[in-house]
Amino acid sequence: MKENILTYTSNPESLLLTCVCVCVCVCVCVCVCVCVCVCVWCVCVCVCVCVCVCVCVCVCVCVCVCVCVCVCVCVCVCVCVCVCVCVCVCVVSISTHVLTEDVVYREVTADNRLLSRRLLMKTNRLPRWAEHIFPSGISRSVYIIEDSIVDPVNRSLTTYTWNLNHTTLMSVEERCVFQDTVEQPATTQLKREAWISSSVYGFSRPIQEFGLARLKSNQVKSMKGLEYALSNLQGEAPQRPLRDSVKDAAKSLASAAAAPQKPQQYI
Amino acid sequence: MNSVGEACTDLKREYDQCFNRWFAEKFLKGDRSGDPCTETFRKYQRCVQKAIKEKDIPIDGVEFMGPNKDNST
Repeated sequence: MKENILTYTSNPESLLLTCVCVCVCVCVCVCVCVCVCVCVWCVCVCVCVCVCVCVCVCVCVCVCVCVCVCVCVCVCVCVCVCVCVCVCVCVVSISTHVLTEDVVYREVTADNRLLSRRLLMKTNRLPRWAEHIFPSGISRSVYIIEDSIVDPVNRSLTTYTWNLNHTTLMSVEERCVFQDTVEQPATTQLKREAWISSSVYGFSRPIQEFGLARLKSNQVKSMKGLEYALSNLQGEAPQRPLRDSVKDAAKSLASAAAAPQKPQQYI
Repeated sequence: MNSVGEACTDLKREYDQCFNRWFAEKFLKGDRSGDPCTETFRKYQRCVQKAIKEKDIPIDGVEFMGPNKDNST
């Protein structure tokens, strides 16, 4: 007779289980950035909205020991795709620092010249270092008078501007004369002169130097403003020679339009 | 562009429109016929001079191109 003997063998060591998991995670992040850009003739405010889509691939390796201890190691690889949408809103206001403009006197003389006096109010943008020195109550606006003479017979425009307040801190006078260029017909020459003074005890010299430096650096902006105004006028009538455009610039100087071509008092 | 007197801005715009038309079409062309803007100018000035007094802006007392006389060319 045969006997069937079943033999059991048992492994007394622990059991090891290995599993591999693959996870796919999708994350959506929203970022908001605000940037401010300053263009020559307008202030642009850009709002950027970024949408990031992240695709994460996770590889997890879990090692389990039957005594119920799991060790998981996950390796995630994220790929982020950011889409930024920038919306720029241009505030097309040439001279945002000129707040108000009023004609306070006007006369046509016997020899057909137009005399005008205008009152302008501008922001008073102090540099950082000056903000600490001067009281915070200091008026943030500057009043400026501009006297002008338009002479259509001699084809010249003369303007003279000076500030009414903040004169102790800095007094700036500027004269501009627009005339036909003798050497170059069909062009206009502009002669600008400025006089700067300060009566702040002990600081008059550096303040004057600062004022002069600022005037020179602002010239570029002023001339670009003038070119912009002229190009607008010329856009209306492309055949116009520059001379007429200057006269029209004179017209716009005396009008409601902002006056970028005027010598600005940047105090 | 606004007026220094908030209530005057509309009057200012009305005057400016009248002036611009006269300046371009009459003055620059040497036409010396009457100024059509005297009435609008008067209304505008009444308003703006009042606002200037209220705000104490020191615009009086200086001759036309006055300070310029001290400065040599």
